[in-house]
Amino acid sequence: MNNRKDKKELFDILDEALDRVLKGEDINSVLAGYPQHADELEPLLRTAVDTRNAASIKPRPEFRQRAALEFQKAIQQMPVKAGPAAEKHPRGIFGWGAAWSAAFAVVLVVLLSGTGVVAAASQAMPDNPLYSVKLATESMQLVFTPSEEGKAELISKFNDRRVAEVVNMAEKGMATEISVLNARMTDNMNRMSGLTEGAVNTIMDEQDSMTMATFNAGNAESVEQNTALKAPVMTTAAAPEETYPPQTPVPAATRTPQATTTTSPASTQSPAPAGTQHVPVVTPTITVELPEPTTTTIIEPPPGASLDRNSQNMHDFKANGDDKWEKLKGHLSEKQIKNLRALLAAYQNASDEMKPSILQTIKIIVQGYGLSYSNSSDIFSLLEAYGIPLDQILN
Amino acid sequence: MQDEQSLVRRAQQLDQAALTQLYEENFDRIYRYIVLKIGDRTEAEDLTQQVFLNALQSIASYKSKGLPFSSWLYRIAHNQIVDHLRKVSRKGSVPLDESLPIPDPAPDMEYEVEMKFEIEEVAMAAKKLTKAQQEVISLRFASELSITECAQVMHKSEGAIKALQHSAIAALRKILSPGQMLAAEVPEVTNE
Repeated sequence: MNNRKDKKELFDILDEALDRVLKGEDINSVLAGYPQHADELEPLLRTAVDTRNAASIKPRPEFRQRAALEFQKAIQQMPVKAGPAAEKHPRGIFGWGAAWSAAFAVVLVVLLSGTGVVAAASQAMPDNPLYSVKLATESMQLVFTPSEEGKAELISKFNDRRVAEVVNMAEKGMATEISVLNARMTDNMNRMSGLTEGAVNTIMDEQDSMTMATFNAGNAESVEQNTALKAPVMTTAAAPEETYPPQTPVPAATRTPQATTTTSPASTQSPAPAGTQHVPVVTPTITVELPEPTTTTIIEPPPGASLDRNSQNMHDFKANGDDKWEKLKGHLSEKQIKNLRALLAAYQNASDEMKPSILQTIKIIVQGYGLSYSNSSDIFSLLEAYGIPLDQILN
Repeated sequence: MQDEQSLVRRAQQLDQAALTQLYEENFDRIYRYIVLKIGDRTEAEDLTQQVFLNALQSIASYKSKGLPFSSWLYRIAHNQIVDHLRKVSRKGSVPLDESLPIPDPAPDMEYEVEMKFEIEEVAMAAKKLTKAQQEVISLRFASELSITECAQVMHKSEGAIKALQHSAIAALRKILSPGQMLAAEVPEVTNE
């Protein structure tokens, strides 16, 4: 009995001493508190400390970042919790299905427009409660921009914001948030490349249509009609110093599908865990007015343009299409360099733990915009200046 | 616990912020736990990632039962390790506690603390312990859980955990002392 009691006492003493040592107290000063057991305690405490130190390894930053990205992707791919008729589809804003997210976003932004909240949200960082409103506003802007070039312009503007957010999150040491932002930027880049390709094709196709129609018609009236075909161009807004949208509220709604409010069929849903909120399936009554297209421009032939296909004027007129593509490329190139500079500066100032995350963002910016958008030698020079090997970025 | 319950409930609703917070809070600890259990950092990376992906898939069915969320994660990690070790033994790989040279330190030593032992040495030594002793060492020193938390994860009393802690440290001391590496006098016991 005595032995068992003594043993128990020793176990308690060891644990007590161990707790103090593991919290940073000096072993000798701890042992001084247990003179009767010091001889037995000392080797155990030293072994424990050495074991703890050996086990205090950190995951490699590259692995940590990769794992965080995979985890965030997996979250996005989780099926939305809804009624029994729900099909699997990607999660939208607030964890709802994409359709309801879009509807809710419209309600939210319309309700909040004019209150200053939407404007305030435009400045929100990912760790701010209003950040979801910011994303909802961006979604709405995309929905209501009809042209491919307009969408590409918007998405590139959103990428500017994502870069600013990455820089902010890097300062705060929030690597996981950067992984989420990187995933969003990757998606944006994929969408943008499809859109800009479409925009180029649109420019070229419509340019060809105009010239052919002009040749075939061969008269001024046809020229006028055909130039009414809206050959859209990118709005070449100056590379903005601010990366946030103008402080204007979202256009008010005027027309919408009528809808009724329904609740989810509670009887067919399994009960939610205690304390959770039921999210009713609501079809909001909203009215939506499509805003005027923001990126439509009519290309007019130069004054006095000859319809002679061999004329210098017609040659110049056709060359305008090529110019538009060059402007598009130049615009994206400016954004790419600007964003790259901001990220490289952040990379230079970041802690070692944050560097891999920012490096991933740099990779996305370099690869996503495409080296063909910009003077690749500028990119290479910038990377070299900051000591970043090219193969880390291009592979 | 109340805060954690609320967090977990939100996570079960697939709230991204809640899921991310749980991930951040437990990631390093689960990684260290696995590294100490299997002694291979590369494999531990894959297993750690899989633990959280599995947890995400099953989180809807998680029930607290008064235990911390991390104990559920450790259970998932434990099962992942068991599966991994089964596969390794089926492939006929030489177990780590055979007379193999100690693996080279990871190339990213700059991220590690100055230590007397390498993690691989401790992992090899820990394989000479009983399963329960190994578990206590992993939870106490790799994952830095308290006695109370260890007791909850292992479904044992705090007194039992303290006893295991004592015997595990004493055994490790013998194994890790100079000249004793890979020639432990502690008998190999496979039962918990």
